[in-house]
Amino acid sequence: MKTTFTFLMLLCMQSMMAQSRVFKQVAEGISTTTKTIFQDNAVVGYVAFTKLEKASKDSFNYKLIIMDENLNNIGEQNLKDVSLSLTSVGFESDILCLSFFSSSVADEIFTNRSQARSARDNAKNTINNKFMSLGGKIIKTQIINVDADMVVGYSSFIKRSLESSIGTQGTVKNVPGKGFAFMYADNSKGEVLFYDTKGEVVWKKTMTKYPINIMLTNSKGVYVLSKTNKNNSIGDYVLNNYTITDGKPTGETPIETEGATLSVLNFEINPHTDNPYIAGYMVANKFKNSGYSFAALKQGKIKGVYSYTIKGVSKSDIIKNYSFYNNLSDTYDKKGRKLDTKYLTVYNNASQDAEGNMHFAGDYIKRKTRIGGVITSTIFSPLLVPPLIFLLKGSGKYRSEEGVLVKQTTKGSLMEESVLETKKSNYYFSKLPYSEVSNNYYSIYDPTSKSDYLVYSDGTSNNLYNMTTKKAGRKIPLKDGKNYQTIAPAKEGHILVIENNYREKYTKLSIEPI
Amino acid sequence: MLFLKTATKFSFSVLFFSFCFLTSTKGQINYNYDQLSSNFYQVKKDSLKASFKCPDQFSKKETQKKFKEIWDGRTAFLFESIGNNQFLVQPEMYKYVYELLQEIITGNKKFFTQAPFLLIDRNSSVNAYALGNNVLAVNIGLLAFVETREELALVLAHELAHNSLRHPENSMIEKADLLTSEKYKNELEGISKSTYGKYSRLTKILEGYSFSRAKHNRYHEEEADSMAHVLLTNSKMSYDPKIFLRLDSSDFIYKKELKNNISDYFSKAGIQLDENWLKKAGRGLSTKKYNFKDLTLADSLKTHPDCIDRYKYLAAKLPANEKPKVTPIPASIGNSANDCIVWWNIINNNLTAAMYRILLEKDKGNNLLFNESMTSVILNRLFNADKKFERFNAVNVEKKELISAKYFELQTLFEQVPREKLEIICDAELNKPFWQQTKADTRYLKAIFKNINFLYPVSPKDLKSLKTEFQKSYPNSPVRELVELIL
Repeated sequence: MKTTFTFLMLLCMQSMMAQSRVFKQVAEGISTTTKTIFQDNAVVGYVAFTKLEKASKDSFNYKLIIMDENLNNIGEQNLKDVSLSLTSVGFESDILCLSFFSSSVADEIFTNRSQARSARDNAKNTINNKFMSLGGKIIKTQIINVDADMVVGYSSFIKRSLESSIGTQGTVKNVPGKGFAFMYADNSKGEVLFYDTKGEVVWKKTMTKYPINIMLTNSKGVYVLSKTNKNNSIGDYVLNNYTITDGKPTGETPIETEGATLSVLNFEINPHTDNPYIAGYMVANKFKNSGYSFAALKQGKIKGVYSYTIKGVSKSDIIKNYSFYNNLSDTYDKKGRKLDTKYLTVYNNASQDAEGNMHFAGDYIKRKTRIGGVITSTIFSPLLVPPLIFLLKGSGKYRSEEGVLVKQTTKGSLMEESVLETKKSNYYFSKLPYSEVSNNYYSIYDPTSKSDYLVYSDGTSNNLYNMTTKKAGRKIPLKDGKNYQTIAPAKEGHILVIENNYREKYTKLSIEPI
Repeated sequence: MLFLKTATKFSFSVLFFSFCFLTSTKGQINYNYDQLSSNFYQVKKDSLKASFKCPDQFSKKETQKKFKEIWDGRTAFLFESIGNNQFLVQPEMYKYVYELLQEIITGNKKFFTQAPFLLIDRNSSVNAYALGNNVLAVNIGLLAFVETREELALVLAHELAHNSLRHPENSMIEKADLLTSEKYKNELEGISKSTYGKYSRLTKILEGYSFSRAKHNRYHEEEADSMAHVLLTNSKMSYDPKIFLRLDSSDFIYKKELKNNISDYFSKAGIQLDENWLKKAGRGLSTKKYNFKDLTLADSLKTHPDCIDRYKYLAAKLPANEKPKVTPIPASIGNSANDCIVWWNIINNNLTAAMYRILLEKDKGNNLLFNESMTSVILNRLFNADKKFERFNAVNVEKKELISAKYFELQTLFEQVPREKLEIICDAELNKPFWQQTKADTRYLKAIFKNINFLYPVSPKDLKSLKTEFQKSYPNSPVRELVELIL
C-alpha cells in the first residue's frame, strides 16, 4: 500500500488547476524526493523534500514542502542540515515524523583512492528522525548511529564517489492515538523503536538481524515480517510481533507448513477489520528453487494458497488457513490445473475482505503443444540441428489467457470468483519464465463505499474491478508511447493517476475518484 | 504609425458593430463567434504584427539583441493570447469602454494623437493593463467589478498614463540593460564558479532585481495616478478614488459569501442534494488546523498594492467636501460581463468558480434563464469530466483560506457527489422544460451532452457529424466555441 515516487532534478511544482499537479524538470543538480504521508494506512498528504544546494563543507540547504491530500501546498520550510535523504513519513496527532538517512560521504567527490578510503573509514552514518508540528516547527530530532555499507558509486580516472546504505531503510508508521513505530536494520543489528507524539523514545527493542524486514502497525501492536534468507526467492519468512505499550516481543512465528514453502504475496492491514494478514501461495519443496520456470509450474510447483490472519500480537491470535489443490479434487487436479479448462493459475496479489475471505488475483495460463515443432523435428530427426533446437525450446508453448479472481473462504475452500477480461499475451516457448506473461494486480480500498477494488493492467489500460460488488469499474487507458500512466493509492475513495512524459520531462499527478 | 492607423481602423469597425448590436438575448451570452479574438483579428493579423516591430534602442549589439528578445517575447505573448481567444469584442462592453477612452483622449490632445488599441480580456481578475505600443487591455473581471462610470474612468486614465509615460517600454529597456550589464554578468559568473550556496546567491540576485523592479513599479504607479488626475481634470470628467478601497480585497473574489445555503439554491432548481456531499469526508491534512505560514496575501504581492495610500493621494486632490458625481455602470454591462466570465470558466473547465458566480447572480435575481441553462451545462460538463478522469481538474480545488465557507462547500459537493447520483441529476437537467425557451444553438448543447454523457459509446464519426452539423447550422453562435472544444 505504500507508494513513493522520486523525481530527480524536479524543481518547480506548477499548479495546473485543481488536484492535478505538474512537476517539471527545470534545472540539473537539484533533487527532490516525494513521499506519501499515510495515517492508519490512508493517504492524508504528501511531502516533497528538495536538496537545493551545498551550503558549506558539511551542510546543505533544503526545502520541505507539505502538501495536503489534494496536492495543494499548505506549508514550506527551509532547512539547513547535514546530507539527508528522506526515507519515510508518518503522521499522528497533528505531528509529522520524517525519517532521514544521513551519511557524511554522500555528495562528496574524492580525487583519489586513499582520500575515498579515509572518508569511508571515518564516515558517520545516521538515521535522523525529525518530529514536526503542523506549524512547521521541528519539536524533536532523534539521531541513531548506524553501521552502513559503503561502496564506490561513481568512479573515473580522477573522480570517485561513495554510496552508503543499510539493509532495511528506516520505516515509520503511526499507531492511532499513541505515536510512531520505527524500524530499521543495518549491518550489525535491527531495531524497533516506539516514539510518543513528542518524539520521545517510549521503548526500544533489538530484533534478530534479517536481510529484509517489513513493518505494519495497528492499535494492538507492531508487526515485523522478515525474510531470513534473501538468496531464496521463495519462502523463509518469520513474523515478530511487539506490544504497543512496552514493546514486549511475543516470539517468532515462522511462515511455513509441512511439505511446502510459503511465498508471500501480501502483508497488509485489512482495512475492514484493522487486522494484519499474510497471504500467498504454497510451493512444493522440490520446486522452491525453480524460479519462474514454466516446466516446474506444469509439473505441479504450486500446491495451493494460504493465508494468516493476525488478530492480535500473541502467537495464538494467528489464524492459519491452507488450501491444497490435493484436497480440492472437484475443481483442480494434483498439478493445480483447472479440471474443465486445464488452465494453470499464477497468483499475483491477495486481499482480504470484511468477512476474512481471501481473494487471490492472477492469470490463467494456457499451454499448447508446438505441433509444428514436433512435426519438423520428427521429419528432420536424422539430422542433428532441428531436434536440438526442439529440445532447447521444448515441446510446448504457453500464454496468459485471462485474469482470474479466486476466493479462499475462511474454511479453506477455493473457488473461481470471476474471470477478468485481459489482453491475451503472445505464446512463449515453455523454456522461458512465466513472469513474462503475468499481468500486474493490486488492491485498493474505498472507505466511502466500503468496497475493495482490484487494479490491474493488461497492457492497454489500467482497470478497476469492484471485488465487493463483482462489477467491472473504470478503465484508465495507458497513453501512447511517450506518456506512461500508472495508478497509485490516493486520498480515501480516490486514485492517483501518475502520467510521465519522458520527452517533455514532466510528471503530471491527478487525483481521480475510483 | 502603421500600428496607429491599424488600431484606428479596428476602432471604427468595432464601433460599427456596436451600432448593429442587438440587445441582450435571454439565456445566452451576447456576442458572436466571429467576435472572439482569433476570428476578429484574423484578417489584419499580419499588418498588426508588422506594427509590433522592435525599434532600434541600443547601439550596443548585445543589449539590442536582449531588448529584441524581450520585445518579441511580449509580442508573441500578445498574439498567442489573441489566437487562444483570450480577448473578445463584445459590442456593448467594447463600445462603453471605448467611448470612455475617447472622452479622456479628446480632452488631452497634447498627450494623445490616437485612441489606443483596446482589447477586452476575458480574464476574471479585477484588472486592466497597458502593454505599451499604445495597447490597452481591460479585463472583463474589472467590468463586472466596477460600480460607476467614474471608477472605470479612473482605471482607464491610469492605464492611458502608463502608455503615455512609456512605462511598459521603459521596463523592457531597463531589463535588457540590466541583463547585459557587466555587473550582472560578473555576479552570475561568480555564482557559477562558487562551490557553496549557488542557489541562495542566485535567489538573492533575483530578489534584488525584483525589489528594484517593485520599487520602480511603485514609482510608476504613483506617476500614473498623478497623470490620471491630470487627464481626467483636463477632460472635465469626475472620478471616484474609492475604487482603490474596494480593489484592496479584489484578489479574493470568491471570499464573498452567498445569502443562502448551497442546498437551497439547488433545491430551488429542482436538484435535491444529500447534505453529506457538502461536508468534507476523509481525514487528509486539508481538514487539519495547520499553520505553516501566514496565508493572507502580503500587500506587495497583491494585484493592486498600496491601495489605501493611493486612495488618500487621489482623494486629497479632489475639492474638499465635494462628493464626486457618479453615474452607475449600466446594469446590462455588469450582467454581460458576469455572463462572459461564467462562460469563460465553463470553457476553461473551471466549474466551481463558474457555478459560484451563478449563485452570486442568483442572489441578485439576475438573468434567470441563463443561470438555469448554465447550471445544466456546468453539471453535465462535470459529469463528462468525471468520465474522462478529469473531474478534479474541473472542480479546481482551492485552499480553504482563499475562499468563502460556501465556496468550500460547493467545491466539496462537486468533488464528492457520487458518480451515479451525478448521472441522475444530469439526465434530469437535460429534460427540464426551460430548454424550450433557450435559443436553438444553446438548446443544441442538450443534444450534445445527451450524446457524450448518456449514449455511450459514441463513435468519433458521430461526434464529428454532430460538430459539423452545429457549425453549418449556427456558424456565428458563441456556443460554437464550447461545441468545438468538447466534440
